[in-house]
Amino acid sequence: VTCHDARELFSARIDDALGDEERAGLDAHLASCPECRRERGRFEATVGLLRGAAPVRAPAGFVDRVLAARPAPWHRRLGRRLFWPLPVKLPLEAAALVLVAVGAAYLYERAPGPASLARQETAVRLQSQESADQPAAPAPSTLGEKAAPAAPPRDARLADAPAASGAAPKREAPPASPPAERKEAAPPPAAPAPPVASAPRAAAESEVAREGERRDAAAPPAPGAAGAERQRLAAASKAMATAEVSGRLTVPDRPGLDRALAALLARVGAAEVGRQRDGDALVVEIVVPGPAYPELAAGLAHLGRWEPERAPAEPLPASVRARVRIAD
Amino acid sequence: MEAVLVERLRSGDAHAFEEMVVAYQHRVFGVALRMLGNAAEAEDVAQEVFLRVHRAVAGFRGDAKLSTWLYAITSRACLSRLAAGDRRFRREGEETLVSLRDGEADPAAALERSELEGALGRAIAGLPEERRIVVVLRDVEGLSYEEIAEALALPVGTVRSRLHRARMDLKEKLERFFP
Repeated sequence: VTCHDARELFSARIDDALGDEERAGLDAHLASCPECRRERGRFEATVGLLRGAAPVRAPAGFVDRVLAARPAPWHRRLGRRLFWPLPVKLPLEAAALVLVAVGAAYLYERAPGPASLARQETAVRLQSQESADQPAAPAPSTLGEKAAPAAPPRDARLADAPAASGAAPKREAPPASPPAERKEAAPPPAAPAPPVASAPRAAAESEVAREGERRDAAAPPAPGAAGAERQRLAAASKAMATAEVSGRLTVPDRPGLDRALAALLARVGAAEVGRQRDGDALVVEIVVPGPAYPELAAGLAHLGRWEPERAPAEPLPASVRARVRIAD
Repeated sequence: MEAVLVERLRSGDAHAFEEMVVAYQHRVFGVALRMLGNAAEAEDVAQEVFLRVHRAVAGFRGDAKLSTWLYAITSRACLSRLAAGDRRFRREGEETLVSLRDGEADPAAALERSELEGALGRAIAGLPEERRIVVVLRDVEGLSYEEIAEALALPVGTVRSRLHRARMDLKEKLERFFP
């Protein structure tokens, strides 16, 4: 062990981090080298001074300053923001008021006035008449468009109807039936009818009735003359669009009836929209375009004995809803 | 005890944070003072250390001792300050940085002791920063080689050699006080 090697081990010797062999070599060198012994003494004195240094104390009030500088919890920060000092809060509130006022004025300017509303009602009236004449291509009215988002969803209303009348829920609702009519037609609890395939043509024709119904549902009952006028218009539009027919069909061959009836409906462009059992009888609801109703009636007469109980009034409306009670 | 304190800190217990500041304030401040040589800056850094702990304690996994974690944050904060060129604070009277225990009643001995404290303070301040932090943590704060290595993210061998160099530097500067 040289003097240099021995002095490199001083730190480890003080910290008791030397192995037995290294310590023995160092001790042997120190025993024979007075200069290294002196160096070791100075080294240990230096480390002793460091270890003898008195601990430093943090200044008074340090803890309080740290705690004060600590970020407050979120609820306190929110509270502080809500209760800002008045010199900050007042200008902000004033600016907010101005923004609200400007926004309100802008909306008022954009909103339709009374004269504009009157023009829209006239347009609705004309639209209803056009719908009756041209059922295949109804144009949505301005009022209907504006009020549509406020109306409840059609499916939801239809689902509610049987529940309100105490009947079992139906799987599919006829597309052209207004809620009031559906309540009347709701049968007592019965076995569920098979799914009905809506013919595209019938769906297009019943769109007229749907439009009238939507407009009716969308327009809230307004007090006064304007509301009454709107209801009258909607009722007239509905009456023009659809007629209700019922009758009794007595057939000799009940099992073969389904196929024959389906063929008839396809031929005249009608669609079966409901079917339920009423005791021994089977009640089938059919929607047929008004002009094709005579052909349907003739076809039913071919299938069996057809006894209409209520016939549609002339002139024939855009569509006819026929309720056929079939018995043996 | 420390594990319980850590658990309370992680759960956001405000009293636990206060207890931790009370318990560790002198050690954190002491390291900062001996590294930076300015009491105001040392307080600034110590405060910053505790606020960092407050923010990060929720993610403290508890792999290391809380004290080692605090020393690690303090060391990094001090070395960052020293590395920054535009320090707002300047070193002040190094002779006041170290005071030795067991004050002497004899005026002559007291004078010599005061000189020695001043020389020791200046000698520590004159060490290169990477050696100064090691010798402060080992000989003043009493950390083991392994704890220092963990706090400074250094190999133990590096800690050992830096410590030896630092002690040798100090010995040479203080030789006149020893026979």
